[in-house]
Amino acid sequence: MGNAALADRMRSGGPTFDDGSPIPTHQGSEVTGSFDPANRVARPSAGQKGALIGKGSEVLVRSGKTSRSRELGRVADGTPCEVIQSDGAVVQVRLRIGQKMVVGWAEATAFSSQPGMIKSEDDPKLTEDFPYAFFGGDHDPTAPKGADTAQGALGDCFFIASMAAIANASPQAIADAITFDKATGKYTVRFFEEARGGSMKPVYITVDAYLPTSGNRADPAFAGDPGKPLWPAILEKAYAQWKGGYDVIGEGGTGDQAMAELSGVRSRSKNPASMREADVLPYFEGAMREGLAIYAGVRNTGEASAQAPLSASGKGYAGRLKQIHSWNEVEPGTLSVTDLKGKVGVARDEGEEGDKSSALAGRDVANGSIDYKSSQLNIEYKNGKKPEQPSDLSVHFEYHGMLDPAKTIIGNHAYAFERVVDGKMLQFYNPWGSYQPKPITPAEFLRYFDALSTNAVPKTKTAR
Amino acid sequence: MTDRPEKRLRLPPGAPLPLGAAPGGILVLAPGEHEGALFVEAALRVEGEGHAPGVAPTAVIHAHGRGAAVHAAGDDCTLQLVGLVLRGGRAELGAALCLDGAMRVEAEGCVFEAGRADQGGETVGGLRGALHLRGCRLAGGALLTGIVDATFEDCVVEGDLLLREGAGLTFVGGEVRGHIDLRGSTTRAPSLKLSGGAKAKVRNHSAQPGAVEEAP
Repeated sequence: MGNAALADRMRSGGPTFDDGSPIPTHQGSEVTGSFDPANRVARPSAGQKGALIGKGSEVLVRSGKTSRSRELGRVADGTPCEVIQSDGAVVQVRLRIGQKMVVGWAEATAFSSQPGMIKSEDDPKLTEDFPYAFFGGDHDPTAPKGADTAQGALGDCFFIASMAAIANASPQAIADAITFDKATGKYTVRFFEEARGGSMKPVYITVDAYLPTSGNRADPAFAGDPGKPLWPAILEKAYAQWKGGYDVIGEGGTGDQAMAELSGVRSRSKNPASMREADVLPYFEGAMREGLAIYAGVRNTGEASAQAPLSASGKGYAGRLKQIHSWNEVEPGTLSVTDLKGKVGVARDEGEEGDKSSALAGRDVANGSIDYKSSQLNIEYKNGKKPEQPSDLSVHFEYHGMLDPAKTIIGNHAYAFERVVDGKMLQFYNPWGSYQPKPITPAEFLRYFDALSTNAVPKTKTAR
Repeated sequence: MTDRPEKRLRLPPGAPLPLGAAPGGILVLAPGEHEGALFVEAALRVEGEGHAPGVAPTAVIHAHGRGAAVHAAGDDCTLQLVGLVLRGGRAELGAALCLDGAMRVEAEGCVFEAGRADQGGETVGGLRGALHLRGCRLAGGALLTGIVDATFEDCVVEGDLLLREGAGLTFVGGEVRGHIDLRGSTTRAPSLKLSGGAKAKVRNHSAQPGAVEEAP
């Protein structure tokens, strides 16, 4: 936020810290005046992603091009859509109305180009119901830091953690990346793209301040939270626009590449599995001394063994596996049931990623199933085959979710490194902005983390 | 793990893989499983003992879920992999083989078994550098992104082969049993050249397509 904006905020009596300085906030606000900060396009083209932005009003969608056509519905201001075709003053779009995807016509002037929306978690045939809303104020990052970031309902932890790591190492790099144009109300974000031969060339992406929201139009659905600075949401939106949509960056990526794209300097990766425990602290201390941004990724799953979790049930054996955290579920394709006395053969689950349940198979198995969400396991052996005791059955499986509840280490997640604590522990930052991990030992780092990248981000102001 | 291999080092099964590679060193892996992820930042040749053309490799590098089975992160050097199975990896990019250094990786007669990777590179992932695979089997999907340049010669890819950003792939002979799926960003596009009777179904993104060339 610039000085003028700070002064305005103080005069307006907005929220302040104890010392009276304003807390940077951003609020979803409807744009109703003549000024139109939305990114409009003269002639929407087929396949273009965007939103119907009515400047504070619902947008009417009809079945045909003319005003006599049947009304399909009035959708929320900012409803995401995809262009099918445009015809003069009207545009045909595919969009979500209620629990259906429909095709209808709207005024072409309502269409604004926006990054593509993600699919619904509940029903992949639907786009998420995250209407875009305008976010005012907080135009320039002031002393940006990793803790400003707050990942939302998008699976781009690699990018949010990269932003946090870069901000921790060089607030100036974040400040240099964003330029606000008062005349247009839009932001231009500078990224870098690596070319063959290793040079980095700048890439400039311009976005408006409309952000996807969920339920509360003052609460960004993706990066950002009410009360937190706006810069992470603007960077994320520009990154999504560059790469092809929120749906594209929501598929994941690497911290190595994202940090380089933010800093203009190639990252260096390392596999934690190649480090000895004694190497870990010196590595992080050295990187901190050099002022490097540090990104680290946690492995997808943890492993668990359950001794005697099954009891006799009907013709077979059943039981519910105990998980170490309520979020945790069995990872498909990883479970095996072994008879410690070898009376029956090993049973293995045949599930694949994305399955909700699966059968168990093995030479002695007649029927068997595992429900991944509830961790309920049932197994029935062929006639004449059974363990001596139900307690002889041991179950081994992998789980995803919270890998270490005591230290709050979340699987398949990215973190930004913050500092060495007491000369012996490592403190990471969770880009969710919540569920912050406790300091961990070098041994715990090696146990849980499988990705590590550093980046020598410039500390001083860089020319745009 | 040991620190560095001598110029030529034979490792029996169960012996720890070295932490680093002596420039120009040769690791010979005896048949059987070798535990640990191999992180390579200098020139190195790793070969399965007794490897021969047309014979299934029996020397296995098993990562046991700790990063990529082989991670090539050096600059201006070459890693050669011959007659190996790479198994059990989990990584952001390339579970069996991850190439993110500006180096060259050559693999011949290798099997890359599917691990788990965040973006789809369950077997092989490349971000930069040059990758040349010959007579290899990729038992799952692969992801080539960033600015990596790859040539797959007489290889079988059993899953989808994803080409993203500015990656380039020349696919000569061989087969992709899933799709070759191309998608660029708004500033660059991947490129694909199919030749030598390669069997592949190509799926190109409508808004951000790649360049596809088919030659006899």
